[in-house]
Amino acid sequence: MLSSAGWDIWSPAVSGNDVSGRTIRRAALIFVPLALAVLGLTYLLYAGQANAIRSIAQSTEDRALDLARQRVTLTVGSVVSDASYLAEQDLLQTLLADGGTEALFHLGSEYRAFARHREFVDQIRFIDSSGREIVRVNRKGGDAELVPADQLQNKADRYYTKETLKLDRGQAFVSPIDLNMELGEIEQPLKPTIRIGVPIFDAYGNKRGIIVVNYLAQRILDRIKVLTTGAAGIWFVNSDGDWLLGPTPDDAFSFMYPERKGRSFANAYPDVWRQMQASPQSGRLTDDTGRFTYVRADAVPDQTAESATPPHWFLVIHASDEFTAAQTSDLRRQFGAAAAVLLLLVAAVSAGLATYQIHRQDSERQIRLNEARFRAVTETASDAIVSADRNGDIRYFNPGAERIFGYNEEEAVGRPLTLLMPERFREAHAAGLQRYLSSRESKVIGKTIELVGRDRNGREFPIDLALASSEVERDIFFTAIIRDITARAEAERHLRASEARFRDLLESAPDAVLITDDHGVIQLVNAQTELLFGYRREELIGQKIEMLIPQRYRGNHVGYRDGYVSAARTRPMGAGLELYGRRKDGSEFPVSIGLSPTRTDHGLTVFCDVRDITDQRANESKIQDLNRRLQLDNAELAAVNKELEAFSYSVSHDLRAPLRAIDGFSQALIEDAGPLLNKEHHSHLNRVRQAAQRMGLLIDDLIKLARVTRADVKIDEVDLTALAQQITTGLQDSVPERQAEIVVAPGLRTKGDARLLLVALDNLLSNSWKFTAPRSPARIEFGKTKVDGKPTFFVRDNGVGFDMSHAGKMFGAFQRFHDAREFSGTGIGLATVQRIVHKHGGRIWAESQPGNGATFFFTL
Amino acid sequence: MPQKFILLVEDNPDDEALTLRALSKNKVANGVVVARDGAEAVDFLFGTGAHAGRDARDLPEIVLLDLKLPKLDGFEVLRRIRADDRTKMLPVVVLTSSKEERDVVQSYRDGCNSYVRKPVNFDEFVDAARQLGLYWLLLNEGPPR
Repeated sequence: MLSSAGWDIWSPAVSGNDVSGRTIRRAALIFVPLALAVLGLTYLLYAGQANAIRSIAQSTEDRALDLARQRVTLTVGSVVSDASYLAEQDLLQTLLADGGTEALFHLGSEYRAFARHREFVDQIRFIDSSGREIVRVNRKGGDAELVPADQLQNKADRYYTKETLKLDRGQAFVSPIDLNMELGEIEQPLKPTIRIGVPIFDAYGNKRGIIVVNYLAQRILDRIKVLTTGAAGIWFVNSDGDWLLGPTPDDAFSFMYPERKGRSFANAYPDVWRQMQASPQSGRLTDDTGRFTYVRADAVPDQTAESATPPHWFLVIHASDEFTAAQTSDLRRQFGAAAAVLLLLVAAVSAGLATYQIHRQDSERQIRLNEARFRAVTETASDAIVSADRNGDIRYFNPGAERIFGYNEEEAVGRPLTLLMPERFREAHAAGLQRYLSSRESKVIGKTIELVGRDRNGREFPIDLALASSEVERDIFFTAIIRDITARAEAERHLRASEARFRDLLESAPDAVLITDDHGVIQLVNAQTELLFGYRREELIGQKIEMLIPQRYRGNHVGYRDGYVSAARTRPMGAGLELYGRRKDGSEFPVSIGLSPTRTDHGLTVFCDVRDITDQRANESKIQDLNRRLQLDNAELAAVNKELEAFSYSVSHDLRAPLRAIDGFSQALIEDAGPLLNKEHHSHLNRVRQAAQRMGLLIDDLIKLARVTRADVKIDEVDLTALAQQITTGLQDSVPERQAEIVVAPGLRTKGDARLLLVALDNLLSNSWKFTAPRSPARIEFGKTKVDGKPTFFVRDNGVGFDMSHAGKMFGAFQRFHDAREFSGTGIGLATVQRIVHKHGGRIWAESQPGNGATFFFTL
Repeated sequence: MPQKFILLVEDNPDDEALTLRALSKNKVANGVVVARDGAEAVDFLFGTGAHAGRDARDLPEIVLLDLKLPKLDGFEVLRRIRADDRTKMLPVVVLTSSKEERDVVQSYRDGCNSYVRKPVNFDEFVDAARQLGLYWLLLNEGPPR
């Protein structure tokens, strides 16, 4: 059972679950009920024993109490008998009859003798009916002495005298037990005393006095004490609940001592005391301190006293809980030990039993599992699994074999293996089988070989065959696992073809292409790689990719490469970085690199596409240079604009003031010194004034040009027709008498800056108005046409025109084509118009012939 | 009742002379007070500084105010005039060389009543002075005193 194979159940792979856990659970299932039974039985035995011990203790207590009660009763009874005897003595009767001194003396002697023999009698007294002591004998050591007559006292006031004098014949007074007092002090050593009184009657039946015997109650106490059983003593308690014998000597007779007042049984155990009053004869009570057993002891059991209640006492045994427990503690120890030993035994047995059961369960399960597994493997295997016996006959033929060879199991089993191979191999197979059986040598056993199989239809196909032999009890079995590899052979052919295509593609790629493994080792390169880097193919294969990188980047590259491998995806390498390749001759060149990963059976393969971007990089740097320059130019332009603005502001304020002074004071001179000046003087001063005024105009126009130059273009929808009409109306109104034909085409709209376009149109139309002055009627036209397919506006007039050879210069500032005396103007207007057109991204040009009018075209 | 007068604020002596000449040609030269910088104009109007003790209630009919001035420029003078209860209704005509848009806008924003550009041509200047005198001294009904 516990063969080495059987122990396989401990391996998680086989058992698949927690064997020790199951064993523990099983052991617990066995152990718990057994342990409970053992514990139950032990307890029952213990309880029986403990009960027996308790009842023995109780009956012992009962007996002790009964004995004690008898001793109390008998002792008191014997003293009563003594007293009764003394009361009826002849000598006493004689004394009562005669009253002589002699009789008195005799009686004293008699009492002394009596007291000597009764060693517990302490006093014997004869007291007459008036309460006077007549005879008194006191115990003194082992002897007794007669008290002289002069020391006798009257005891009429004593309770025992009074009580006894009330009695009839045959009755006796018994006092409670207390400590004897002598002259008002408790006599030392303590002398517990009980007094017995009996009345005395003379021959005529007259009561003549009493006999009082003091008895040493210590004897009663001692006799009770000796009955103490075990550790629980007997307490002697009087009818008031006071201890006469208590737990300690100090508890006894506490009622006699003022300082110990209240220290009594009745106070210590009030509940118990109360119940004892209710059921006084005997009983057994418990409270939280333990068990109480008690009996009542009467002083005179059968007397029916009429005048005095004879005292009674209780005898009590208090078995405290500790005491009771102590009685059974040994027993508990013994039974506890026995139970522990038994439990250990039970545990051991449970563990053994559980282990055994679990082992057996697992072994059985293992066998079933193995069988099922074998079935599952062979039934679901896509390969053919065929077993054959020593004769080469098929014994097992799985579904895979049915599928591959086309025979079903019933057809195949029992037929020779040669059924599954082409004719030409059968002879060699038979020979090989025989050789193996005789010599156990084979070329095929334990290996996988490629062979040719043959199916039911006679089709031959390539197979992989793995053959194993096994000997079980001298019988040899062969097991063959056969795989139809037709598909694989086909796939290999495809693979070779596709690999060839891949290589063609790789070699013809315009970029260098390298393939590395996940450690950066170069696996493959194409021809372009050789050209680009100057290495031959065999110098690269097997080397780290870092050999193609400038020395200074190699250290970091290894880290980047590892990073890429851990999160590989297709992406350009080193985004935002400038990458460089390094040729064999050490020269470097800028590259862009694309990476794309492919997972293969051998790990990660990375395709690297490397492109020489020397030219591209050069272009980029040129563009960057241009951009930089453009930015600088822009900044410069902004600065210039700012300066221009400040300049023109200053001009418009400060340059005009001197002109005003020149003009003004010239005029003042003319006015004030007019009569002193000749005509020529006047003419000079007028020229000064004209020059100054002309300079004022020039300044105004220059400021306008500057304003246009630095103005921002605000693009809006602009109605050019409306603007042109507004301007031409103004022109006509300025010189209403001029004959002019002004045509503005309707609906001319464009996008542009309305203010700037107004300035441009104003300049153009004003020019036309000016240069058509000699014409009547003048003709001015504003319209739209198409030039080279582009919408183009024009202003045309029939004015004086100009020579086209000067057309190139006409848009420059201060360029004038006409004599200032003929046509006024500053030569800034067209420069302003051109500025505005250019600001709109348009073009302006003019066509004219001297004397034949001019046309200005512009696009926006 | 005090004489009606004009306050001319002008730093350029040439312009001052020309302006006075233009005004006198139009018979309005008597009663022109000239302040030669912005601070003096303010002192005159409020009776402070060099003009301490002057009765500040005696205000001109009109202030002709140049913009480019030493110490306080014309805008600042205009703002102070408008900020004070005594002068906030006082008519102020900006009379300056420039017609830069920002000067015009700023002047009206600060509360001038009129903006006149000094022409280079003295004939035109005389005409402007005539019209100013005609309008502000005769035609216009000034704020109640």
